[in-house]
Amino acid sequence: MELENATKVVIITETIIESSILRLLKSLGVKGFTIYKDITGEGGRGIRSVSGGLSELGENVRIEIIVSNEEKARLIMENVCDKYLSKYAGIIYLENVQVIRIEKFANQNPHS
Amino acid sequence: MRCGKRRAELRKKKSRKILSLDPSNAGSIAGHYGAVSSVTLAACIVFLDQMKVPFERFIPALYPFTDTAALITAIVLGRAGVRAINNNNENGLDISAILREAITSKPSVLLLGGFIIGFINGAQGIKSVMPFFDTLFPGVITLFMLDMGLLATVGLRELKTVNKHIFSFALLMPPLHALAAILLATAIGLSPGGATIFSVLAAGASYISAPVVMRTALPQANPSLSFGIALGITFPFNVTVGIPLYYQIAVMAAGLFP
Repeated sequence: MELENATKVVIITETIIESSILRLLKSLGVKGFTIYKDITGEGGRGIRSVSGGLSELGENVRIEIIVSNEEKARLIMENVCDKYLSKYAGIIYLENVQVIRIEKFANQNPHS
Repeated sequence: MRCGKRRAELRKKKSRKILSLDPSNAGSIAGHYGAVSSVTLAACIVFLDQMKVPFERFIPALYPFTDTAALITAIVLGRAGVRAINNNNENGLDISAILREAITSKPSVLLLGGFIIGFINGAQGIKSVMPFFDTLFPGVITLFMLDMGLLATVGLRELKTVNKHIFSFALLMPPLHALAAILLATAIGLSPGGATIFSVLAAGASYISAPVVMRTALPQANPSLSFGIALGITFPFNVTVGIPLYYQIAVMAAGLFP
């Protein structure tokens, strides 16, 4: 098994728009992602996480997508940023990762 | 339903003019205060039952209608305001998406589902489960209120940096709305008990269903602001001073307009 370079896109944003973002990702051809729940934190907007289990309002979510090249990662970043992060709280960034079984991530084919 | 819409409209105009809020925040607060606080409603029902005051049993069932009407009105007005300021059509109105969001959010589904289940089964059909809900209700709502109290402190903490005038809004608006509702209810012939429940539908501010819908529809608004005053100020006021006060007003109104 070979270690190949890949790019991971990390989105940390409000749970409220989780399903909208996933829909956007799927429309970009993304086939796989990982979701972390119960994420808390604070950001430049000063909107803190009001966690209390009442509703999804104060909760944050972390979505990770691994793609085989940086072009695809940039496309995802641009789309998510334009459509959502301008209005809702959140950050998005890239990480360089090394993966095995690159074919698992290579069939992600974002198309505009 | 029309009452809900009218109330949300008034609320929005009031919160914009009086507090000089931007359209998003005004719309968000309007939505929160136009919608209903289910816990306040439950507390009111418990209050009236314990005082052995009769009321028309269908009135609590108006909840989803006033709730949805108010939320939609607030969203429409808020978005229109944002569009007017930004002078563009970016926040184009997608009513079907908003409606879908309002109806499919978890609190709404459970609420409407509960009504449908109750309606289909009727009094006979749910007899077997009623002991569970009836007997446990006071205990469960006590726990829920205690939990709310804990959360209210979080809500209050978020308000340290806001314009303090909004606190007066949070305290003055509920009785004003209640008064309007009581006059309306008495005029259409509801009993004092019914008028009280109606007033609670008006005076309560939602902090469970409204925040979610408002955040999706008006993201430029500050969610801590509306949530903070709805839960931290209006809710405690309503369940302690508000409900008995509104009942007294309803009784007086019934006396004035027999």
